[in-house]
Amino acid sequence: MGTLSGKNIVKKYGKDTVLKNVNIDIETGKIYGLIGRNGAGKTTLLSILTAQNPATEGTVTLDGQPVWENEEALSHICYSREIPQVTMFGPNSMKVKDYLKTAKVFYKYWDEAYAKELVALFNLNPKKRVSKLSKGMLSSLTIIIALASKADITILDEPVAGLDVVAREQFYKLVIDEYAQTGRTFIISTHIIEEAASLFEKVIIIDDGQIVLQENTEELLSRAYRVSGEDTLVDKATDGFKVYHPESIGRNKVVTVLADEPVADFGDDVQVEPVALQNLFYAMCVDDRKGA
Amino acid sequence: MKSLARRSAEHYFIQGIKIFGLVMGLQVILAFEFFLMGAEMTDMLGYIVQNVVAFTGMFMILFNTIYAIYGPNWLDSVVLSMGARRKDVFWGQIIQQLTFITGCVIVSLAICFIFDRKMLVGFTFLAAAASILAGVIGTVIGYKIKKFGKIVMMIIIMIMACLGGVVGAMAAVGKQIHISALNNGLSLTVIGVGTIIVFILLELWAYKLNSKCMVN
Repeated sequence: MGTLSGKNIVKKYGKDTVLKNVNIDIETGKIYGLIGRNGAGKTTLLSILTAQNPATEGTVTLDGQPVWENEEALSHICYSREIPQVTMFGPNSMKVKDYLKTAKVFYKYWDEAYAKELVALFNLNPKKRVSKLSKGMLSSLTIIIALASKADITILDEPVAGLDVVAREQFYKLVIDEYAQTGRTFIISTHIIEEAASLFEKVIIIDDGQIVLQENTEELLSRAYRVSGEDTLVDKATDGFKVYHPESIGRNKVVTVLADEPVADFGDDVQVEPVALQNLFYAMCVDDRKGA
Repeated sequence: MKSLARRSAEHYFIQGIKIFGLVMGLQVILAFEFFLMGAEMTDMLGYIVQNVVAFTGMFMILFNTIYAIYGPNWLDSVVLSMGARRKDVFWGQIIQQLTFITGCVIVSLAICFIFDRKMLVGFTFLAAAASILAGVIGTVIGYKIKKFGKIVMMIIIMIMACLGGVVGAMAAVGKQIHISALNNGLSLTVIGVGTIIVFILLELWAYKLNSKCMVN
């Protein structure tokens, strides 16, 4: 397996352009974090990459072969997304075991034994209807399908939504163990960034339908700084750098800086701290005009 | 492992068998009810057989339509989200519907021949033809509901209610609408060929709608 690539992807819903010329390359054998604000286009992008949604423009390929309607390409991809509890016709009356049976049919490399192990681990009742599951149980089912699919590229869209902290830690451990054993590629879209940040080898930040950033997490954070001090001194120290989300409290100022390369020294007049991924994301994506 | 097309076909075949099983389960209950209702009739057996065959025909049309509408909005979305291609879903729907209809037709014909009620054979084939068309119409309606929402269902219900009202009113004043072609072999042929032509045209439309559909 090589690279899952999206080139010049545009997606429009009527007059709304949800994705604007997105270019993305997912190398296999890594764990990716996909982060973005609500409505940024994460789910749309993932559904287009996995041929669950047609792009208005652009191409998606896996090892150079188009993914759309391609059995070989699709057999290597799993996109496990939120399962609806309510359909257009009423409550979703499918049972957990129905979903697992369907997954067994359609995922070429499905591991039934592993699925059963995960069902027991998450304490999920296979006979329960999806409409009767709690939010946490729904997330568990999504995770089970993703992990047991054994797909080379496994995508989880907000998998920990609704999970308690114990279950979340279990999930992160499962991903790490699975990655260590098989080298599968995982793409995890999540809003709980700080918990998952240590998992992400690479991070992709999407904002307003465009990829803002796509790089190695450690390298990214090595050149991200929180610079604080007297406003004139902060401005002087950060002159020429990309500065995000300046905050002023009286004469003091705090900014987040993302440099092109690691900076050895901003000078003695300011305080410099490393920035966590979540705080960097917040600084890059928050817009004072939009508010919270 | 078998190819995706084959796995998909088997999956939809099993779904068709499940719907058939559901309808047969309902028929067993209904047969018992007809038995109780016809207990004092001179031709109790004829009464039961006629009603079972009639209800099988009606259920064929009803359930085929319902599950066809479910497809684009629910069940097919699940399959699509698990790596099936749209052509697998398209052919799968046809397999599911034909499996269900074939099962019902076999049971109805068996009842007709076992209990010597051959005059119901024509009705059975007519119901099968109607069910085939209702299925593909249901699929198209399903895609339209997916695009436009439940308003499509409301509009169709209103149209059907008006049609039903017209038929009912005409029956009330002594007029009947003859849609049976049991006495005329040529008409059955015309109906059969017409069904196939309309079916193909509607399936082409369904294929076009299916080719760009997305997972819910």
